[in-house]
Amino acid sequence: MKNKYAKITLDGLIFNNPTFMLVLGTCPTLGLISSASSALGMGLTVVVILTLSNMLISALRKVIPNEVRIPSYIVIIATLVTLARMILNKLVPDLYDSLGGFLALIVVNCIILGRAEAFANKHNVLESAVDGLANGFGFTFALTVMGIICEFLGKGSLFGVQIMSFKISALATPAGAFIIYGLSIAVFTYIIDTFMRSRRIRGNKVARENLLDSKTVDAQPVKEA
Amino acid sequence: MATFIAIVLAAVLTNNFITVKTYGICPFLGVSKKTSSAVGMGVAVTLVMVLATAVTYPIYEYVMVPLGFDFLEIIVFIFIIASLVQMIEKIIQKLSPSLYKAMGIYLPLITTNCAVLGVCEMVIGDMSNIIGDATMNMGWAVLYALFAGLGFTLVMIIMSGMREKLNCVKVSKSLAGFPISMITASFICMAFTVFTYI
Amino acid sequence: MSAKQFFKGTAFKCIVVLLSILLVCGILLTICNALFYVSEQEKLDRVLGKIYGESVETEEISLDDLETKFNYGEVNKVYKVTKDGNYIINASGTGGYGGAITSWVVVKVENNAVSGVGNVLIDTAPGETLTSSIPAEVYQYYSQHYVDGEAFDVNDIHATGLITGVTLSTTAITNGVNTAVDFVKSQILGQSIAGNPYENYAYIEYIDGAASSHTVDENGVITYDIKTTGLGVAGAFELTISVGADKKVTAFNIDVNGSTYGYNEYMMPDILDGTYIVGKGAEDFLAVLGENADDTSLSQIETGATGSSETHATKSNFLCLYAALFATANYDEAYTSAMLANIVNTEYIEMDATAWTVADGVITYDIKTTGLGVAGAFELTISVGADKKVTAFNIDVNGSTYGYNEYMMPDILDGTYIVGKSAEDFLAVLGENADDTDLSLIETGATGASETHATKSNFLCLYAAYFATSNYDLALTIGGKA
Repeated sequence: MKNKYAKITLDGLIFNNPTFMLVLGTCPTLGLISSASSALGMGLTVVVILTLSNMLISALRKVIPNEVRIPSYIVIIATLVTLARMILNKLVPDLYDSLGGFLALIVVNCIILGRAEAFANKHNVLESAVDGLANGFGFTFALTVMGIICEFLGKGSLFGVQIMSFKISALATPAGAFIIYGLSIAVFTYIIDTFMRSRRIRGNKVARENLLDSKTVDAQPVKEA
Repeated sequence: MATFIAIVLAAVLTNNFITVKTYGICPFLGVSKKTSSAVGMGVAVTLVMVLATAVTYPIYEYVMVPLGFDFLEIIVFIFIIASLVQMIEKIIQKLSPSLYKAMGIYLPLITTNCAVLGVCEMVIGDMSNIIGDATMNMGWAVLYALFAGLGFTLVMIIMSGMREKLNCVKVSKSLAGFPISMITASFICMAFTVFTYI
Repeated sequence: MSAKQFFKGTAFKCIVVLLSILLVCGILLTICNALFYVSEQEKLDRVLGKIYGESVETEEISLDDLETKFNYGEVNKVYKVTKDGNYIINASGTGGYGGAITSWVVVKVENNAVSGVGNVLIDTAPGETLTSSIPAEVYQYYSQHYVDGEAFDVNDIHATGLITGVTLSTTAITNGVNTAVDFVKSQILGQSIAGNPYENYAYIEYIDGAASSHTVDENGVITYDIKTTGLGVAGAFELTISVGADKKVTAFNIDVNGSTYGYNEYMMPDILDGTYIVGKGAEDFLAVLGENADDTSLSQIETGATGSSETHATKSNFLCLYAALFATANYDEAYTSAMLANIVNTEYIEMDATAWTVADGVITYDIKTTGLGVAGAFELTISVGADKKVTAFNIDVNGSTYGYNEYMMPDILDGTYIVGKSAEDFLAVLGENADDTDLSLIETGATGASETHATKSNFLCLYAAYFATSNYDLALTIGGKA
């Protein structure tokens, strides 16, 4: 039982990391990693929305007829996004401003609809919540790491605090975001591949199979959208 | 006339959806392997962007804002977009099977394309860097959507051309796939940065 | 399909579920919208908070009954910060490359006086292309270098080396800051600000009156320190121009050349060294200058005077010629005002309420004194003859309070002590100020009265007589004052 949750968590965070492995939710990623604090803020907002939407959809999975599931999911997600927008606008206006249009666009973020389709409508509420948290934090982790790299090199600052005067301004533009995202994916997949291979060499067959299994369990590729 | 030029230049070049605003990246990376599919996707996105703006802008400005329901914009917009996409799909299927063959497969993907929702949200928001608030109206909104879509298509075509050439090159294993596509995309972005100085 | 089938079928279930989800979501959002609604006031407070540097409560000051146009610009909106009484002002400063620049300026107020300038932020700058190249230090300059009573000067900012170029945009921002400070001083704190002393003069359109001044010497030569406004790409010039009694320029020097982008090299050499300007009068300059810089027919100069055919730097040339026109055309007014500035012994005299007329060498003054201690203002009519001695003295309004007028020296009250005396006589009795006055000299020497009450009232009357006699020559030269 415990193992199941560990697997869901590892999947969401690392082996099926939505940003690095599945390359989903690219628009906010590329748009916001020029600032580490916006990236972190976007990540945490997605964690909350994804977890809640996963739980709601999982709870309603037996009520909602198959034919209207997509519109229903969209309404639920749109409601959560609108709520998040209202709350951020009221309580954290600085973050609201820095997220800009991407806040409303969470509603079409493939990760959220993707998790609803691929996981939440087949699993119970608790599992769905763990999956939402894991994928959300996987997304947050990826965005924050790239945000730190991008902001440090592109603006010479970290979370808005100026560290050095040297900077490569181009890296704080979408062009830089593309390069850093692309290289990050390459590095991340390389590390995972190496890790898997080393497991195989050490002969820990069970662990390897567990890990390999987990990679395919619900990695049914979500359509590019 | 000045407004017209400002909107066209902003939508296509200085505020290009892909290279500057980073909207609509999923289809940009996913459907740009071949020029033919890039054109199909671009045209389909442009069509939906124009129609969606033409429907959502008046509903928002003349119905939702006066009634005080502007906070429901996201739900209403995404619903309108989803319904529109369904309708267009059905209509094209009926009217021109050959066009449906070329474009139809891209339509279902467009509902969750941020470029469409993005343009609907943009034209009701702050456009003051391009066009004065007072002069904003439905005509300009639709025009902006049209040229934003064409700008999107333009970058899609450039990208597909570059990726077709990439097929002939050997790329190291860890860079193959998304990483090399993104690095390619970043070169297009760099080229477009020049336009922000207009 | 019958109705019954429909209600049992999936289609009905789909519709019901979808509609109920929509309904629940709609209601939830409506409730939350009411809870989290961000009002216009709140949005405004956020904008103002960003400008101010911390979130603050503000109240808008109505500008309906206040003056909003100043020497260098216009005030658009004013907010008072409730907790500390500072002001956040939206002001447009003139002189930018493409017109005015509107900035947000925080003006700090302490003890009913402007104590400094806080944050300065550009709000809108239509037509400016270089504002992005102004570094943050320039905006901080204002908060670090505020000196009470002194307007910010672009040349000082340039002297810090923070920026090179961007003169016009910086000028407009500086003008906006000065306008905001002037507004708070004059409209809110009720202080007088340095106005434009040349307001009623001719040809002041391109003259920065508040930053110009002039003096006159004993030969009637007026020396102006003139600062022009900027004009198009040409920045402000600072010039020293002397005009002789014949109303022709006797000396011309460019102290600060406002010409930008190296245009100063293209200016006419004869204007640069003044040879074209010296010796000319107002009519000569008028003939060359038209209504404005575009009308200027520089060809007249170029062929007529020096034969040079250089037509660059039209605006810079124009500003120099215009300043010379201003200096010569206003000779009379400037002479009078400079002479008035030379009037002495005015410490206890209300100059604005004092007038005189000249007739056959006799000057008749209507003098109003200031109040002094418990003594109020006196209004007196004093005549001074050609021998610079008082010929008539009358107290029109006795400012003495608390019945002290009864204690005043009777010889002063009826003027007998004063008539026939000269400036030296009064000076001998009066000291540096009212307390020094040795009335015993009068009391024993002149009338033998020993009354020592009402010292201040006696003093004011004697001082007015001293003022009238000591300024006889000047008053005669000026010829009369309304």
